[in-house]
Amino acid sequence: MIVTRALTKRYGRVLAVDRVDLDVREGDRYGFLGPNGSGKTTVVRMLLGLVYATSGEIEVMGRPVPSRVTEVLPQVGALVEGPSCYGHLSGRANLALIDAAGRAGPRRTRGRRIAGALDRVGLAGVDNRAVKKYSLGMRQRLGLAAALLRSPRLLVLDEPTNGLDPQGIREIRDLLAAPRSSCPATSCPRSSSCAPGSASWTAAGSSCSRTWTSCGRPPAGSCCAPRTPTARRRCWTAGSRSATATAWWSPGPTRPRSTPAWSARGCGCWKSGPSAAHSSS
Amino acid sequence: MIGVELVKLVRRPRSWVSIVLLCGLPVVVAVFVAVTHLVPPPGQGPTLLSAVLSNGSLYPAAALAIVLPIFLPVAVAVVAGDAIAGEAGSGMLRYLLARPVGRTRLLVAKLIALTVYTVTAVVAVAVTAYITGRVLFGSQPVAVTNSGGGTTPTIIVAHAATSLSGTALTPADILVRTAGAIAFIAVSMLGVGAIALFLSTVTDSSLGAALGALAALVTSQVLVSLNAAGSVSPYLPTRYWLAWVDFFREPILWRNIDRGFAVQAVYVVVLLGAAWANFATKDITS
Repeated sequence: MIVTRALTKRYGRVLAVDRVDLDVREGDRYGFLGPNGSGKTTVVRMLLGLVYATSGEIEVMGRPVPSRVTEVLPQVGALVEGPSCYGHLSGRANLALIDAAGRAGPRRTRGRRIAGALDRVGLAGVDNRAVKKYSLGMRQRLGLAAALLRSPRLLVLDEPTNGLDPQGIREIRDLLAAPRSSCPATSCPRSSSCAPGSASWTAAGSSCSRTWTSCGRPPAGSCCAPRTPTARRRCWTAGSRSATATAWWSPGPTRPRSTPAWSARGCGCWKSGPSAAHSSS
Repeated sequence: MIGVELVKLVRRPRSWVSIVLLCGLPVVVAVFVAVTHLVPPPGQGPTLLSAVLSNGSLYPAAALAIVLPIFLPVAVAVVAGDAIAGEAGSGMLRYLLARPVGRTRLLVAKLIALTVYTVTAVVAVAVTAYITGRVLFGSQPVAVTNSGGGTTPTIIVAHAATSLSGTALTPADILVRTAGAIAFIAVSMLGVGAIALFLSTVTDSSLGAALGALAALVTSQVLVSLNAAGSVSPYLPTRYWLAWVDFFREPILWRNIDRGFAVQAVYVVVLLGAAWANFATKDITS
């Protein structure tokens, strides 16, 4: 689904993304974990062709990005850095405009697609008021509905549960955990503290079948900054069961969410320089 | 995508409010003039306003002269400045591009929507002013005798007005000349829109893009009035803005009108090219 090789992005002197290698397969629920500023959203924008990489290669569904990104994007639904909409229009009008833009679906089934998307995110009964009067949670759901409009093969969701109440968070998790036929491969960048085995780490990674972590600057005084391979191995296997020294993540079979000891394995980071996300294998 | 942009333009309350305000200003002026019967002497005040008391069918031209210096460029600059920068500022740009909507296609759709808005605004001002002029000022009939070969000379009475050169103009004549003036003003405003559209691809602030375009226009106006800037004056965007008045001369003086069209065409092509080059290659981080 998504393959990147040595993906790098530099903004002037700031190295935002440093030689990232990704391999997301069909049916995966793939999580990006990392604190703010670690380059997750930059990677997502590069996948969608919004930002051009400094070097490296990206392939989404077999097509190179950004040269042939227009062939791929109709099958991708995205929520990047928060939802957006035209505030003076209603939710349905917003979805109608988004549906009509670009590679538009057939107009006859537009109403059904919009109704279906709103239903999946729990906004089926929404009225005609302008979106600027929506609460944050409703806007988040509307953004998700826009991403789900075309029943995409690949969903890229940046902080999809931001602003939702616990019920909403559960509903989104159920939506993402649904069987493969109704839910595509998902890649979810999410912020979390870079401490393997911590509660937030576990919670963030628990709905993902595979995770990749960008840590940014190694926390001072932690074991994130050892220099020798042996020390690294000791540090990062602390919270996991069977991580290997060389693999930065261990794919494994999909774990059920009820397994409490699930935690992200390995860390795709540390590099000299701040806010650099990279992995090497 | 063009359809989507047109729908967005129509559903935006700001579009209609700005057009209503643009049409309202000449109506206010007409009411004052009709009540007091005071017009500026010929050569002073807004162009053609002095001729209006005799015939209201010249009021569209006078109304365009009233809105042209400030109001119309501001309205067009605001809409054009909002084109890309507004989408970026509201965060919709990334979602539109991820649909996917090609960047060139988005820019072209925005340009077409801007053109539709500009032409609609100019035509709305002209039509409203025509109705206002006929209602408030009416028109004085001018007898035009046609003594042909027969024994009884035919007398045709037509509602005519006088051109700037003093000759009579038939209603059809006025209509054609006003249409020419509308086309010229629309192209001039498209030049303003091109400046604002280019700035819209450079910044994420729609207000900044509109103000930048207005700053360029004010600078151009000041330099045009300066003798010291005489060497660059023929190439400035506002130099030939009032050349459409020559449509109402008999015969029509095409020299300044042609130059006006040419200058605006160059600005539109160069600035749209720059906007496309910038937008197609920049990183979208908004």
